[in-house]
Amino acid sequence: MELQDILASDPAAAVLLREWCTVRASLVREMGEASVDPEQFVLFVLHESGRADALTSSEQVCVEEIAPAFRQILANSPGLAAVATDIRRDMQDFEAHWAAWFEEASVGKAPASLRVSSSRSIQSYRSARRDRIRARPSRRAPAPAPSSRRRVLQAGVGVAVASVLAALVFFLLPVSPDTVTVRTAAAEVRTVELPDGSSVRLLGDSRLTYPSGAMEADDSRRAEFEGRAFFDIVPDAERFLLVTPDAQATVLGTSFGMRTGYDGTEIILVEGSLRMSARRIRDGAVILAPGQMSRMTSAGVPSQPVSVRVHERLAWTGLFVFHATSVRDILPMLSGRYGVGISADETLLDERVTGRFAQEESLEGTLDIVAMAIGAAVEAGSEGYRLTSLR
Amino acid sequence: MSRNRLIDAALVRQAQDGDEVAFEAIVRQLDPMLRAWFVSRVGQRAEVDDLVQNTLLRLHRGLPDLHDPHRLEAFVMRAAVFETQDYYRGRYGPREHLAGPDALSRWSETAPDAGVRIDAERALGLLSEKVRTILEMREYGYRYAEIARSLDMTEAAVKMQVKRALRKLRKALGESAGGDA
Repeated sequence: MELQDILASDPAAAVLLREWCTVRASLVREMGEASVDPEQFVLFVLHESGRADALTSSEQVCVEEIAPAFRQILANSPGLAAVATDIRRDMQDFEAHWAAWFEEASVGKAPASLRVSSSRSIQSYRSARRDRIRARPSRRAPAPAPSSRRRVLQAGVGVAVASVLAALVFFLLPVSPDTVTVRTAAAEVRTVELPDGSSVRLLGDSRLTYPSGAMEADDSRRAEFEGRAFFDIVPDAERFLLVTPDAQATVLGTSFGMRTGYDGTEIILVEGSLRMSARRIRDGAVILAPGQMSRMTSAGVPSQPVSVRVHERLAWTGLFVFHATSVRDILPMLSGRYGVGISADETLLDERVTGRFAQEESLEGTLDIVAMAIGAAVEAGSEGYRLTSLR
Repeated sequence: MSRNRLIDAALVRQAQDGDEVAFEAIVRQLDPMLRAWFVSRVGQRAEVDDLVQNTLLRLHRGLPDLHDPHRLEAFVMRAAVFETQDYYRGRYGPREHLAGPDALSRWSETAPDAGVRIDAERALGLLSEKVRTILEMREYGYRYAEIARSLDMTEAAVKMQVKRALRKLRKALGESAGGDA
């Protein structure tokens, strides 16, 4: 039954609705001009936040006229105050993003600023690294007898020094002036667009260095990486070489998750094909197929690829990564993430979906796409959502 | 706020004078920066292309009004914030077909006037500040997902708050109508 039919047959409901609409109109009235002219409201917030230089002269005059009324509205409207906070946050984030972006870009062009920028980053890298080393679980064998203990400690110190030196060499080697380096803070997630169109979703505490040029010359599709990231490499005749402190991956066009750490590099391939090898030793290279994982072993070579449940193994990316994942597996994931019940027709449960979605996307957006892929419709009900087959 | 490090003022002036090559050079530098910015706001979505495109379009249209080329960053920021707000307000996405206070207003435009007189202010006074915030943001045009993000809540929690508030209002309005009669 349509809403209008319900209201026609239930006068009490119609009265109630009319009352609600009156309340709603009152709410809108209290929000004043801001509710009908959002652009004006944005200009007002920019102006009030000391960004008058973002307005043209005529806009400044106009905003100064309406400012007293808007200030009054803002003081009485928590919703508009929240929107104003949102606008200010975006404004400040944008300015920080602009500064970081063009600083990074200028790092590639100006060696002098490179030194300043790198030294700051290396300091933060060092402290982060120290924390990681502290938190690292001990793999040492039970303590030997005192006579041999010193030798073991010396050997341990030697290994530690070698590891630290290797790490420092990796990070202190002069970066080519034609490269761009992007670093993310501890909880930051940033998507970096590479010059060849590939994109990298960098997670916190990660670093990516890549050529600032067009990546068109031979061997120019190359990047150095440490941390955690999801890569989308666009197909091209030229291979893409990705180098980590202990491994390297060669791909043509593919997507995969990669993370590096004290226990080596780990790669999980979602699409395409990928060749993984040690950074300096070519022997022992392995080829990964979609849905497979490999990681560097203590022997310094990659492990034999094994099939894994991609969506579980790549949960750390902040993405829902589905590789031929059944609807039966997808629904509990979405339901758990959004706290809403989601069900589907029995005939749909074994349908498989390949794709990925940012977890910050709305549930409705993700469900719509999943439904489209399996030929279903999304129905919202009091118990949550249901996917019903259209076939 | 005029850290215009890479795009020099001379290039901006050339673009303002109608030099398309200069404008294209600016676009080449801004495009990936804007793309990364919007992805950081809305995630890796198809709408990012449109957001970047429309921001650059706003810049192109507004360039003649940019009297000081050193203010380019502020102008780009303003254009990006406009587009981001448009996104939050659902201009880029499919319309939300969810039960909510706004779903009813379409009917109210055609509904016969029942001659109801109620104390709207009293009814609004029944709402908690949180619910009022949500309803006002919704009236402003924000999608539920964006309200949730902005208020650091889950979307389900936002909808639940609205549902409870409507129930409360229904009860209060019912009592009010009864009292008037």
